[in-house]
Amino acid sequence: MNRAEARKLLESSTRFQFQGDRLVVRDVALVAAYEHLGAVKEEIGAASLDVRRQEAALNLAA
Amino acid sequence: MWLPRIVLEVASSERPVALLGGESFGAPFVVDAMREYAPLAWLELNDSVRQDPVAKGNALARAINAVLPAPLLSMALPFGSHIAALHRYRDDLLPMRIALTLRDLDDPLVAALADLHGDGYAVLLDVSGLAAEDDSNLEGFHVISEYSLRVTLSEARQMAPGALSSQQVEQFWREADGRFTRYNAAAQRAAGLPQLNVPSSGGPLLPVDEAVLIDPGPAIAALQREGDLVGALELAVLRAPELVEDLLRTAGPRYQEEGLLERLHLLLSALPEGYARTERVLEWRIPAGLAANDYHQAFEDADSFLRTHEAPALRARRAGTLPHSAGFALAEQAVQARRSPLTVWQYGRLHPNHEIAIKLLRESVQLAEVQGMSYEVARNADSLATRLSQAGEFARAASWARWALDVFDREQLLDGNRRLLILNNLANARIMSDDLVGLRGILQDARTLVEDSLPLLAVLFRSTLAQLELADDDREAALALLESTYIRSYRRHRARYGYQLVRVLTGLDRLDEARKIAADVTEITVAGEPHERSLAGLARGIVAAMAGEKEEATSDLLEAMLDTDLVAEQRLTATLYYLLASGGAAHNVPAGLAPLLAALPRTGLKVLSGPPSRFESIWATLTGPREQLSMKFLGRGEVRYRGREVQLPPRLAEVAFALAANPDGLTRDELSTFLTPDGHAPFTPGGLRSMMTRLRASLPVSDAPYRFTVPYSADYLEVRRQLASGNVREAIALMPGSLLPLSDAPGVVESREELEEQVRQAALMVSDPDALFDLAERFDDDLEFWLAAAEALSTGDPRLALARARVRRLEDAYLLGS
Repeated sequence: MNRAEARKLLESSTRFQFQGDRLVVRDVALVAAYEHLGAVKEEIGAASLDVRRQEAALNLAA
Repeated sequence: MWLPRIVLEVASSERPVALLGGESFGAPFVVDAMREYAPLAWLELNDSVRQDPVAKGNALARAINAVLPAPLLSMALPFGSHIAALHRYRDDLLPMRIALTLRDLDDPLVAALADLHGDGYAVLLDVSGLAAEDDSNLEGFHVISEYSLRVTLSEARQMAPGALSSQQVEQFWREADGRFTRYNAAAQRAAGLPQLNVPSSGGPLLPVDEAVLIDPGPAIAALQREGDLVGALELAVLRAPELVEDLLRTAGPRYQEEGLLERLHLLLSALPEGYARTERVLEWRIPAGLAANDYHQAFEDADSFLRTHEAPALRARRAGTLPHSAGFALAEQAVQARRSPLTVWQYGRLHPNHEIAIKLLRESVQLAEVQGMSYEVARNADSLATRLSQAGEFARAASWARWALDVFDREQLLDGNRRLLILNNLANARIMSDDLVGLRGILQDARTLVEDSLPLLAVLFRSTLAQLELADDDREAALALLESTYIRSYRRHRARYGYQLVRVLTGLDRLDEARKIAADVTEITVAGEPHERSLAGLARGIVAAMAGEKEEATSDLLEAMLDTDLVAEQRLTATLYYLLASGGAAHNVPAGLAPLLAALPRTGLKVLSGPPSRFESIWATLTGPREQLSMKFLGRGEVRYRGREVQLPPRLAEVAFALAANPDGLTRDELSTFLTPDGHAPFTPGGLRSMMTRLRASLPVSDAPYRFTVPYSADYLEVRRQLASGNVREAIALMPGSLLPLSDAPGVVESREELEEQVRQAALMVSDPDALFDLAERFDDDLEFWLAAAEALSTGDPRLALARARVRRLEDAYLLGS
């Protein structure tokens, strides 16, 4: 398999999504690991990444 | 309410369910809510996984193991293996719901899961990519469409945050067109509340519009921190190739252990120019290229690198891919450059001298232990076991293979494929060294995993099971296994399996068929390696020896016996048939083989030769004479007198047992009492006499008091002797089943119960996992045995998950019953 073919195949089958050169991440645990490493994050949306999210989750079954 | 409405529809469906619409319609929330009803094994087929049956198998195994009390399914196996295991163990695993999130329904896993639903598992698909309501792949599914998943206005009002007005709720609901996630996000935001995280198979996800952008470098570090080395390497190849060389140190072994070498090949092939020819990348391009059957460029690049670099690890890996003598020379250079677990292992594996090879392989195990490399300890110990087996040292081989497996399970290593190879090696060595406890169940479990999914391993396990059948004197069962093995084997393996098939066919007096197979093997190996031609000669020699054609037999068999390219098992077989054909010309047996032959236990002799009627005298010269009369009353039972099998009807078998268990003899009254159940009329003197006359027609029995008039052996007595000596494992090995299982004669029933209780008490005193698991399966719902088995088994042993599941089931049943 030549490099170009492999690259094309890899890009069409990767689970990762990119915006420009940066990785789009939704996985809460990965974001937490990332934050633990002290890196600076930037959000796409307007809402903040709030730890209260877990506590304030709607009780859907109520 | 929206969620309870959908959940109820899923839970009450008798068919597997497919939710359409995906995340925007709230399907993940429904899947997650199903945890209330049964343990939920949830997996997702993402883009990296979809094309690879092993990657799908890994995802399925992780999901299933996550809801079990201990891991049952290994990595590195195709999903078909796990589906077969889930069918096999359904009684211990149910109730369980398996949820699969995917975009494309055209996947064989969907049909496999639908079959599981038919076997009692609840199956739920979360199909996100298409409006597939009328898709033919959903035939048989209960489909919950986007229409049904839509939130109604009244449901929207019920779930709305209290701060919102009725008009706001209706506005958001209309704008979202009833899509749960969109509606909920708008409502939460308007109420000043945070949005809900979205459940997924891998844990909670941020809402789409709150996703975070991360630079690849720190993201790779975060993935490593999460233990996702597979993802970390993929991301590095895509966006940070400068990290690949270093990352491969940990990610390379992980790809190998998870059976993802083909994916690794794709990754390393996609590396930009300049990153693909570094030492460690080349080291991994070799196994990855071999796995993907695309290795020429990797070999070329490695050879070029090795011309100017010492690179011991790369040198050792390349050595394993070369023809034997060239590989050995390169492995020697590698080990001279550095003695590491890899270089010494490769050098030992390729060394032509058994004695030196065994020493080197032992050193490679020690080096790996010192460096704390568990996978290498298991791999190297297994290679040592293989080499010992090839040299005919089966008991030592069994010790090392068992050690390899213990390390594998204790350290919870991932590579299920390698575990199966170790297991097969261990089983072979145990059969040859007469250690059969629990082996049948272990081999049948393994066969379930490989039979329809891993053809090469399936051939190996069928062959090993055939050996076990021969050890148990069931030649018909061995034949069935070997016939399919032979037919499905590759051309270069035909000789290896052909001579085994010939051996079984001749043992069943099917000489014409055996002759045809021997001719077939001869023809096919004409252009093969020299050792293949020796094996073809062995097949011909076996046929000739059994047909009484002395000249033809001895010439072919002598050649095979002397061929040091054949492994000990094959040379020993040649020797046994040579002794048969030559009338016991032991002086021609090579000096190196004689002690191996003398050390073989009776089981090994049975496996390597033919029926007792032809070989008993040869075995007797090797192991000493047996009693004229030998009797088995446990399990299927068998009586042999003067070398011939004696068929006894059930009543006479009971009488034979009564006499065997009472060497001092029984009076007529005692025998009558032994045989007659309560409430039945006792035997008349005439009836008893007539029965004894019939027995005497086959076996030597005195007049009353009745007793055998020749020395005899009986498995029942041998089990009791072993128990009295504290040899519990040996005692259990002698018990393939209950004592005369169909008999209700009071003397038999009493002896049966007494023996089983003795075995039970003795087994519970020892912590031998094989013995305990074997007995637990036999005694079926004896909680005490299952508890003891769960206590004795290693953490990574798949039997632990089954033992714990059974304990839980039995405890629940007892609680319900009490």
